[in-house]
Amino acid sequence: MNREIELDHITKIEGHANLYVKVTHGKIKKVELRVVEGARYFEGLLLNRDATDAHYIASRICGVCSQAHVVGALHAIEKALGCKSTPQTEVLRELLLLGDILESHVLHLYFLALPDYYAYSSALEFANSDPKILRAALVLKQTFNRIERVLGGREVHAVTPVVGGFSKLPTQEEINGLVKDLKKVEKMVLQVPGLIGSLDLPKFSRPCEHIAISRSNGSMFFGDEIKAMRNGKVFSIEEYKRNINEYVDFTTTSKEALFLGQSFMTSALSRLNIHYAKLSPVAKKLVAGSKVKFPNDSPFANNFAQAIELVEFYYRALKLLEGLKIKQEKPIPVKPRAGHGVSATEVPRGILFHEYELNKSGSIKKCNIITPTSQNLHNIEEDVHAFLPTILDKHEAAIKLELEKLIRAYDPCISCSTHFLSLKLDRE
Amino acid sequence: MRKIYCFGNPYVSGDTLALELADSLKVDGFEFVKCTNPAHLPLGEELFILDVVKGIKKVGLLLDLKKLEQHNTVSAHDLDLGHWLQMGENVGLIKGVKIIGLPLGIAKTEAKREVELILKGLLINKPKMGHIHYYTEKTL
Repeated sequence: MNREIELDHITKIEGHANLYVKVTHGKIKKVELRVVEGARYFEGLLLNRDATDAHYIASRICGVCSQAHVVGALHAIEKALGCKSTPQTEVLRELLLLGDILESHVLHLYFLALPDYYAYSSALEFANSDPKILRAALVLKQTFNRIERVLGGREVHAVTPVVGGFSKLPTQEEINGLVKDLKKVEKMVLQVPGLIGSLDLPKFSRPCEHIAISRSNGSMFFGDEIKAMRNGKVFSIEEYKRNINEYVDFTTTSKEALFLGQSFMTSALSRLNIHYAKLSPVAKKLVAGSKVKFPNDSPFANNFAQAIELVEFYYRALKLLEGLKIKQEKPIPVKPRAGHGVSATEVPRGILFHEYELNKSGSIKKCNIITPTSQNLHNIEEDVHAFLPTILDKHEAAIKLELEKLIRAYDPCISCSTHFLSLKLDRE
Repeated sequence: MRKIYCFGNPYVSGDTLALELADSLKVDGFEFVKCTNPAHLPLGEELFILDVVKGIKKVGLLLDLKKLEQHNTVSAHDLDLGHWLQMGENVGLIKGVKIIGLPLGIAKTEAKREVELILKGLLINKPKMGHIHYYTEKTL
């Protein structure tokens, strides 16, 4: 039988995308994930702008992971300008990023992924069936947003981080307040892996490559090297273009990427697959008590990985905040100069690359930004290709739902990648 | 001191009025707080909100969140103020909401005068004073 499935505007993802699938005589002939978000041209918008403005502009790429772009841009620009920020600045930047990741994981798990598994059209339906779930979602989101507001001056598009430091530091009282706020939600955070781990996830797995920052310098989020899980390669972030090849597929408005010629995944799942041994005892115990094990080849396990990261990063944020004694320091002054800088940052959906080349007056001459979703798009298509035959005997509506679950498991951020879903299934 | 949470987008023409009024309104007993995100709102209490509302003709009080347009969350961007308030009230995290609605395109001086009257009515705990316009099915 020949079929054509078209998922027109995939919902509960960030941005707009369609999926087109052609099935001929029961065989999958074509899978195309078409990003239909308008081209964003951010790399072009950044050209000729002063290097010290890059993070403000780049953060507008996304309202969900704006702080990730702030931190990624600042690190790359500081390298280009030869500026080394203070240890306190780095702790505050990590906290800002932690607030962003924690809030983004809550948003995705509770408001976008969970309703699928309860067959709800929206998280608002939890108000009648299980108000505790919705209460937890709102309280957690608010708490993690507060970290972003205290550190960055507001919840999205932070205004206080600047090249060389912070234009306004949080007060010790605000930091102590965050510690109290985080302690109040500990129980709620610890319940998330149990909730996500109890979901009846589709039984599907496909081995693929995973990459994550290697943590060779001890940092969970900012590194000098990238590690690939399957082929074991470790490469410097300066060599990212030699290993990760961005290409243009003219059926979409987003670039896609391959790692050494193969599709790959960068995500919370990738981080846990590669760094499981480094998880805290609390997080390991929660994994041990679940049906999910790491390393894991199922993209659906990414939701559980996000839930485990919620616990891991919650304690990381708490530890950093408890150890923080704010010292008054001004941003390190920088002088315009020609230079080049690359940063790699672990952000909610995987690794984010920012690269800048500056001219002698400190303006941006070249810029390249590769978001995690761009890197994951090809892998999503390959997963759809492999997953579809296992569900092809279902009704079209069921096929569409299962495919949407698969795509949403990646937590794709299409606005970021355009630089996302409707499904068309074509059967002949 | 009762807090009035003012929402808007400084970059969107017509949606800046509540933020502008936050700077210029001075009413005893009220503090005006500019908000950039619904998550900024405190939980566990009654909320007073000032915002531009599309589809109304007069400055007035909206007490029933069901009057706000309902929609599903299909993307991370749908978690807007209205949705946040509806979810919070449905699970008891928000103990009632009074939204002072500003019609799109109203003059600032007129809006300021009308808001001051509403706030004075709220202060003496007589929000149902005759001159306050309430949004109902008929008057929306």
